[in-house]
Amino acid sequence: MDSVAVSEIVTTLNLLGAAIAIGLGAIGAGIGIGMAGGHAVEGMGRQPRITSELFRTMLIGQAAASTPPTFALVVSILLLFGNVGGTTLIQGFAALGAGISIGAGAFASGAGSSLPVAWACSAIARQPRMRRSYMTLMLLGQAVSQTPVIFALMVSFMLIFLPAKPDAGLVEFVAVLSAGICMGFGAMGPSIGCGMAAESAIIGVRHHRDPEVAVGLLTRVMLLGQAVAQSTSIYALVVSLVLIMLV
Amino acid sequence: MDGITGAELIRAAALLGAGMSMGFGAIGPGIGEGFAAGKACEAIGRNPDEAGLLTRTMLVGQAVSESTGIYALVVALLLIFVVKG
Repeated sequence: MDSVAVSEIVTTLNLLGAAIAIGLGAIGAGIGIGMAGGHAVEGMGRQPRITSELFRTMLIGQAAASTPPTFALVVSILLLFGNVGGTTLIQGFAALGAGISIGAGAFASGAGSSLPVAWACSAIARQPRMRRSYMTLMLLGQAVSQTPVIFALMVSFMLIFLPAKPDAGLVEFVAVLSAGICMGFGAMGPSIGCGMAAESAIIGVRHHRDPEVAVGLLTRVMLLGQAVAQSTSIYALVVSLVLIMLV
Repeated sequence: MDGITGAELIRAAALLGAGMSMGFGAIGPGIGEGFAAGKACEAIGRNPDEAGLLTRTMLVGQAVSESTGIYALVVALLLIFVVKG
């Protein structure tokens, strides 16, 4: 075999990054959105009169939960067709890191932000008059649960548009790859955790003897708990940015 | 590019280790703290009179769970700034 050209290696790394981004990124949302649909159908069976309400809640929640795989798709298409990065070896490794970052981040965020949708549908089927409160709680929980994937998207873009560095060696190659791994996997825990918190806040409101009073109190407790759970994703962001700045 | 020196190899391994340390280290505390927050919300829903006690207990539990995330951060920063090839 002849020696492989650098541009061929860079293209290979770009394609690998594109595959990891959408391949991993679609898993979580795919499972989660399907489960949300299942809970909605169960609710319709229980309360056929409010079918249209449940359908609307399900669709809005599912649309919000498919934001993370959409980010993954954007990064994947950029890596496939964009040629936006350069053709030096470090930009190839950065592209692979970008794919891992958004792939792992979107995997968890898709799963985490689908959890509140499923339980909001169940809760609305039991207490249809509280549907606006459940919808608000669901959307708020989803928004917080998707914060880590926005960090992951930011790191991905920083890696894709990394400037060329002529004297880069093994250390720099590994640093950009490591930044992607750090942010991608670091986003997983907080996304799923915040989704679980939002899901349980909805269950808590349903069990409260006076749900209208419970909404305000439980929203505050949920946001406090989610804020603490987010801190680890911010550590991951900091370490990831330090690794990118080192290059 | 010439051959890779031992020092470069050590530095590269340290940086990869830093990313993996913080990345994988963030998974556990993130899920655990979210779980604690969720269970606190459920408990307050069932027993609203104890909301203050339950919120305090939740925060203490989350602070303990956070410690492993901080260990991961410390190890990552040590690997980046202290280990020199």
